[in-house]
Amino acid sequence: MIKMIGSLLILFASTAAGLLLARRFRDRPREIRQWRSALQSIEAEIIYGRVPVDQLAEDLSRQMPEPLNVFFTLLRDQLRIKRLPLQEAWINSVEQFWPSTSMKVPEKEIILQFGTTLGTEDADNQKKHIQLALAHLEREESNARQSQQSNEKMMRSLGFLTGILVILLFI
Amino acid sequence: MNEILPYLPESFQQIILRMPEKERSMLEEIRCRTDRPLELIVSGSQWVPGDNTRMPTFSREQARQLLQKIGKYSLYTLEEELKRGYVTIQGGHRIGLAGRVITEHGHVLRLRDVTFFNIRLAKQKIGAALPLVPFLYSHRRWFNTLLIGAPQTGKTTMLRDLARLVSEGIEERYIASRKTAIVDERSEIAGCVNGVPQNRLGIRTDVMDACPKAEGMMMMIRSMSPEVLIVDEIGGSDDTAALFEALNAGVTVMATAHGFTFDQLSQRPSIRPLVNAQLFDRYVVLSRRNYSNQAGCRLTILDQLGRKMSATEGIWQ
Repeated sequence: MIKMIGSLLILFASTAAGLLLARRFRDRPREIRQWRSALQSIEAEIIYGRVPVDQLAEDLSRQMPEPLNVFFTLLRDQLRIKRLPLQEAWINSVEQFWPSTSMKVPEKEIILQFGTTLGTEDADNQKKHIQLALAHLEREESNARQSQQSNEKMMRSLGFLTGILVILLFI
Repeated sequence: MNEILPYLPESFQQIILRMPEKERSMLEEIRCRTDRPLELIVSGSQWVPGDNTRMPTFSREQARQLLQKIGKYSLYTLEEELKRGYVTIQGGHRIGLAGRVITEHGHVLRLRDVTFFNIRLAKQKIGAALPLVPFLYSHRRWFNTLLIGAPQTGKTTMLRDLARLVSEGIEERYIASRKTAIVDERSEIAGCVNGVPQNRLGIRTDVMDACPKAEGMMMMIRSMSPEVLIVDEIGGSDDTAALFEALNAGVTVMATAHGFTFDQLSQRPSIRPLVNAQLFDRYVVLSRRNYSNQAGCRLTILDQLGRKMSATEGIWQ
């Protein structure tokens, strides 16, 4: 009886771990896509509205879906309440925000790089930088999709199968 | 003052906070030049700290940061300002900018490396124009008035206060308030931030901010039906044509122009037709006087032929 319960627990835990790992693969392209739409909004606001960054962050924190709105809320608070310079606020927000997402280092680098150019140029150059970041993100997104296709299912079944293996070994 | 301080580097803030109260209240300009020490202008002359402290030097990095702060870390919002060469910030203060200019087809495209800053503190002097009222108001109407003065003589201050008096009215003298329109090409009279005037201008004032004067005057006359129209620094030939239009449309105009004397001004090709047509009823010539380190101003009032009517002198603060 105890054996039964133990093996069920192991099976449950390893399946859950597999699902979690699979979710990381599933969420990453989705989150990169969110970033791309955020950058597109930023572009439109800068080109047509000349909206300053703190206002932009405020707007996007309301417009963007979870989890990206958290980033812009962080950014807004750093700019408005702590009154940090934009570059510093951007880096801080990225560092705080990243661990809670499924995104990896390459996207982070792109966003950090983009942060160093935001607000330092006129609208035309700003647009070029946004386009560049968008192109990079697009590439990362397709990479993420590929690895999602090859890994997501594998992770899910791997979790379950590892559980079975461990149980068989113990028995 | 409190609106300005957050923009400045820490060391500059310290200097200004340590200034004696009296001098700080008379601070007119804060000038920052890259690789040069900070310069403070107090009532028209350079201020030197009493206790032998050296003025801190303005570094290249600080210049970059100052510009970033002015644009709220969004330089693209300053495009128009970088073309005009100045920014108006909260509180109506003006920051003049200079540096390397990028041109296109011989016209200024914008400033690129902004290395010189001149922060001009806006001080609205409520009541500055009161001595003028008896000369400029009669038989229930305000006269068409041209204020003449060299830079820094307080033309704009005077004009701003006139605008306030016109739109508020003066109850003690039974002067009713009027619909007032200000065409504020250089955002100096009203000191608008996002279209909202930062200075006290009375409740019946409409402001066309950052609008070219000639077009703005016509727009205002057509759309806002002002009784008194106020413009700063007329001088171009377009302005003259628009002024003719306005003055003939029955709108009272109050304007300023750069110049030292009436005679000198009336020689200017763009102003001469206005003087000859006697469109202005009063000319007020302003000149700066210093009374033992206090900034003051001498006002000379001329009638429509340029004959002297009266002169008054006043001390500010």
